[in-house]
Amino acid sequence: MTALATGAPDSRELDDATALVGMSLFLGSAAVLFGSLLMSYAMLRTQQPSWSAPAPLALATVNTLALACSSVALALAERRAREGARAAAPLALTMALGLAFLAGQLGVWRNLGAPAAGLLRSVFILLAGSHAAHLAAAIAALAWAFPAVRQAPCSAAALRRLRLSAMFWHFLGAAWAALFVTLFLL
Amino acid sequence: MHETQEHHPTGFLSRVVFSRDHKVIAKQFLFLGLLFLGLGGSLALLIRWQLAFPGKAVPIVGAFLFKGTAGAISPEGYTMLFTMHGTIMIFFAITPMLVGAFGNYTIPLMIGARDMAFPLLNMFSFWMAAVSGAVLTASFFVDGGAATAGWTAYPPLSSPGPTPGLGQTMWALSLFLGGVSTLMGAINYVTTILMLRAPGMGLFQMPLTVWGMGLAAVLNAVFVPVIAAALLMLMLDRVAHTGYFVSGSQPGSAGDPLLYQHLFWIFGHPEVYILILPAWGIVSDLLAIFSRKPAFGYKATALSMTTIVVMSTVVYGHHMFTVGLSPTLGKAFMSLTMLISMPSSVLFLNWLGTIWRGSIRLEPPMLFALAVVFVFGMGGLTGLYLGAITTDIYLHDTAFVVGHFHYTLAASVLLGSLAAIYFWFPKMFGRMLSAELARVHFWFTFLPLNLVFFPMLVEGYGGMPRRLYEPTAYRFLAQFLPLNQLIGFSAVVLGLAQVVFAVNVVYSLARGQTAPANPWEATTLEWLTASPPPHENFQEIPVVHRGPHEHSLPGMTERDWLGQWEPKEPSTPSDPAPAPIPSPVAA
Ligand SMILES: [Cu+2]
Repeated sequence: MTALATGAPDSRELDDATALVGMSLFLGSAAVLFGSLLMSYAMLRTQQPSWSAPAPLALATVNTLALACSSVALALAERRAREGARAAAPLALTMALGLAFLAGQLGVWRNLGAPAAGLLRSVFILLAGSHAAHLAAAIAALAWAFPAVRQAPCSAAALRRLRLSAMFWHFLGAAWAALFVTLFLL
Repeated sequence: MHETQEHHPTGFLSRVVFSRDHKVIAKQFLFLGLLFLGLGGSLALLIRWQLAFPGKAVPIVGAFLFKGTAGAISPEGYTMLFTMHGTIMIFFAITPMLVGAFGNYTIPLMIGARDMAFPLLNMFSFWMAAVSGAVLTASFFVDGGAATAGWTAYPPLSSPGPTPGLGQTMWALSLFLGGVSTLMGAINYVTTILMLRAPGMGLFQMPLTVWGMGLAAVLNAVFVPVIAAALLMLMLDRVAHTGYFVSGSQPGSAGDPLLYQHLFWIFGHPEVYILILPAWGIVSDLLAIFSRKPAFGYKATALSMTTIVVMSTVVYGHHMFTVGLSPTLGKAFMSLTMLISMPSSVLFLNWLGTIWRGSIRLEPPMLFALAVVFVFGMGGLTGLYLGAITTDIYLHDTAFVVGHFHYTLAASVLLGSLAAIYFWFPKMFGRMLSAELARVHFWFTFLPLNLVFFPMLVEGYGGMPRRLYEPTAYRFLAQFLPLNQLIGFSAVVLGLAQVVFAVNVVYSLARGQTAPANPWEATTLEWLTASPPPHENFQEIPVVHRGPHEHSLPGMTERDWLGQWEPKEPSTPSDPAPAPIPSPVAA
């Protein structure tokens, strides 16, 4: 039991393990949020007499691919930063792909019509909308880490910033994969 | 030296307003909670006036508050009163006081840490709570007034059709922001407890207060997102007319009002434990300290609380027995609910075991802790009638339910908060509260409290529905008018007793006797450091050598306690007396 208390209580600096625990708890809570929304979706959908998947499947697929590529770019940025190399380029690419994803989601939503025009659209707003809000926050987190990560080799604090933001980013990628399958394929 | 100076904020803004010090944030939460406690209590008095003297003009404040109706409370006004009373008490009085204030204050001090793991997040947590409280308060003044759909805000009552006002939307927004604040706190608490314990402080050396706070934080981290999802959908229904909860609002599709109830109670049942676990933990510690005994069955108490936390996640259906659940599902929820009485009984019996044959010191914190034991027993026993389907179908939505949850939440949690205030006030402010005034406060709180809540059980058993504007309109309920007047009168006495408390706090802050480092001869780490503790709590991080309540053990001669920080073996054989208390650090 004592082994759990690995953080040095007397150190006034945040250590990596403590930051990791905090971020994991946050992601756990976020997972419950998406889980609750998916549960609501399931409960609403099973009560409908008929259900057709949202139309713009092609655009949604392109979006999904963009987000997947952003995660790969971010993984590359993390590895470079860890090895002391310059990570600015892949990091910038990650953020650009994230912004492209958000723009694409807006496109999907435009093709769905006004929010009040059917439960299907309402459900898309809820699931994709909450995800987009989180992704916007993740882009902000990467932007916050960006200046410190640009130097090579970067400081331990900068590396931690990057790692925590990346955890959030990859989590949102996985969450979107689940949402995409549920909304467009099932 | 230069390094430490950086960590001592000196400006007024960074020291008092935007402080990252957990002790300052705790005080901010405490005063926020007390403020809303006063507001929520005043609303309760207005509710009780209407039930005791239906339709009569409210004395003194009526002409000012209810101008349109010549000082009387209208049905709409009454609906708003009970909605806002419940909301304020649960989310803006009890939560800030127990979880916000005492969670913040006790966790780092009791585990021997310098602060929370994420002090900046902690500051945001308070200010988010303050904004959330401001939104709720502002909703009283918008067109159409504050929310009226009950504290549970079930759709379709809370849908834009029946409650079109901005107040109901602000209600949802305010709770959503409050949830964000709670979540930030919860992440901080759990991380701090897991990662920042002093050397030697294993999980089973932690005071039970920390157990209670930590488990409540785990429940918060898991279940606040569920209510956040429900509130998000409710807000979208109201603002963007999405129709998640409104049946038939859309061509060819139907939302489901029951979906909201599921989400609400998946969170709502654990919420009860979120509020009561800290109180249980505090009471478990106080009973040991003021009985001068180790807590009876310490490990069993900690594990019972953990078991209750796990089980509380699968019983929420007992709030929905009457919505038309499948009978099989209903029976499952009933059985699981009944099973919770087993760990709860272990907890309760351990409390009795702790005070059994103890050298009880009836100091004010102990009085309040003992009162919690009594009212929690009442709350638990009345809960059985509501957890069983057969009796719940009759008692559902009656005043019996109101009596039950006021015994568990209002009585237990409020008395627990007061016990905590009396116990830690000397540590927080460096001054003692007056014990004489505290005793007056106690008796004029505890006795009227029972006269307020017990008759509710009787009325509910007699069939009086809750939330009823004018019970005497029904002949079979007219007989309860005298009982309602007794409740009203007792509620006024209860309210006046809190004035004694306020006087005590204000007087003691200014003139109270200076508190020593350890006025209660208690054993946990916060009593090692000065009252109030310096910035960053301890001059040197203590090393923990023993359990949280080492009282009256064999071989103790000079005093009946050993602090957690005192080494097991005397440092030299020639000095058999317990090690002296290290001198408290200078503030
Ligand atoms: Cu419950």
